[in-house]
Amino acid sequence: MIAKLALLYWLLLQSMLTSFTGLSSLAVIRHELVVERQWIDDRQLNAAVMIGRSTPGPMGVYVVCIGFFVAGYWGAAAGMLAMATPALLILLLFKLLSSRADDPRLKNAIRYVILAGAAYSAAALFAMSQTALNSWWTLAISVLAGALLLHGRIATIWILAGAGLIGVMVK
Amino acid sequence: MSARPGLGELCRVLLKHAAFTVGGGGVTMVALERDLVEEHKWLERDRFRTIYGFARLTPGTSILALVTGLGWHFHAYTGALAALALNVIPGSILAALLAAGYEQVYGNDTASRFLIGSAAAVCGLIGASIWRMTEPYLKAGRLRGSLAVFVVTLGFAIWGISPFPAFIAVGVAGYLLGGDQS
Repeated sequence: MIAKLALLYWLLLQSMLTSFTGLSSLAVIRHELVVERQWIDDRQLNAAVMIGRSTPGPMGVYVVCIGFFVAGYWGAAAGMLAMATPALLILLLFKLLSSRADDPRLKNAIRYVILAGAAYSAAALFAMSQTALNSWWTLAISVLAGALLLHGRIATIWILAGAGLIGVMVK
Repeated sequence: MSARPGLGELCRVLLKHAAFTVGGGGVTMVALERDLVEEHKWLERDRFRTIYGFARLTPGTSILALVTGLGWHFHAYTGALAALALNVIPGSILAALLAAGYEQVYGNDTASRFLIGSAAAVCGLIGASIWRMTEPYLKAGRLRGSLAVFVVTLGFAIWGISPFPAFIAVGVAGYLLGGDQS
């Protein structure tokens, strides 16, 4: 059991270390756990992604669900550790670069990286909206939620809860 | 700028976002920036964005790298570890519980209708967070350069180029162009 948990942690960690945005670790996880080892199936993988999208915190939390489907709550703990470990690498970046944080060249590089991140998010949003925004009322919910984030002071969990209730009433 | 927050105060704010902010990294980044920079005034927007830029270059989940960096900024290693733990544990517990009961929750008709509504809201939240992320760079004098970077990188994303080489390439380009704000 411990050997399987260690391997699970290592496989999930590998997928996170090669991921730099959203669900880009998904392809590696599917290859290792669905295709190579058959520890989970595609239905569980999809469920994990769906749970990750509807849970507070980072979308990367879907690896916790994958860990759970492989090995119960200990597997979920392995997934949680795999999700958290790469974040510590930012401390290494600080060590290397923080003395130059006020360098205009570095600031410009950071501006470019943030814009690049926004562009990748826009591409992911386009893909998501193909299935999520398929009627006038889902589009209206989307516009309203965006406006509330920009101009309101409501925690996003309440925006989602309200949108979910509208979904129950309208459909 | 206010004095730096105590560890407990910082943890309280980070825990609030870990437990109540839904919609992914971009949305959380915008909510954190509003809280830490605009409301509490604990750090300059420029510094926040520098930490966020480092987080985008860190492998894995960028929002976890961001909170780790913020914790480190205020309280060194203790702050980094506390911030990371607070942002990982609540969502992980909820995710594990949902995974345990997902057949019941997601097979239910009312629950699936609820998810259709909330998925639409997530799209709106992500759209708004993209706007908030890019807005400071769309001012006169920076507009053309910023739009060019955005459009070129969007092309990379659409063509299926992995984000890391794309981020490195635009980061290097930004560095070489130096203080060019055009």
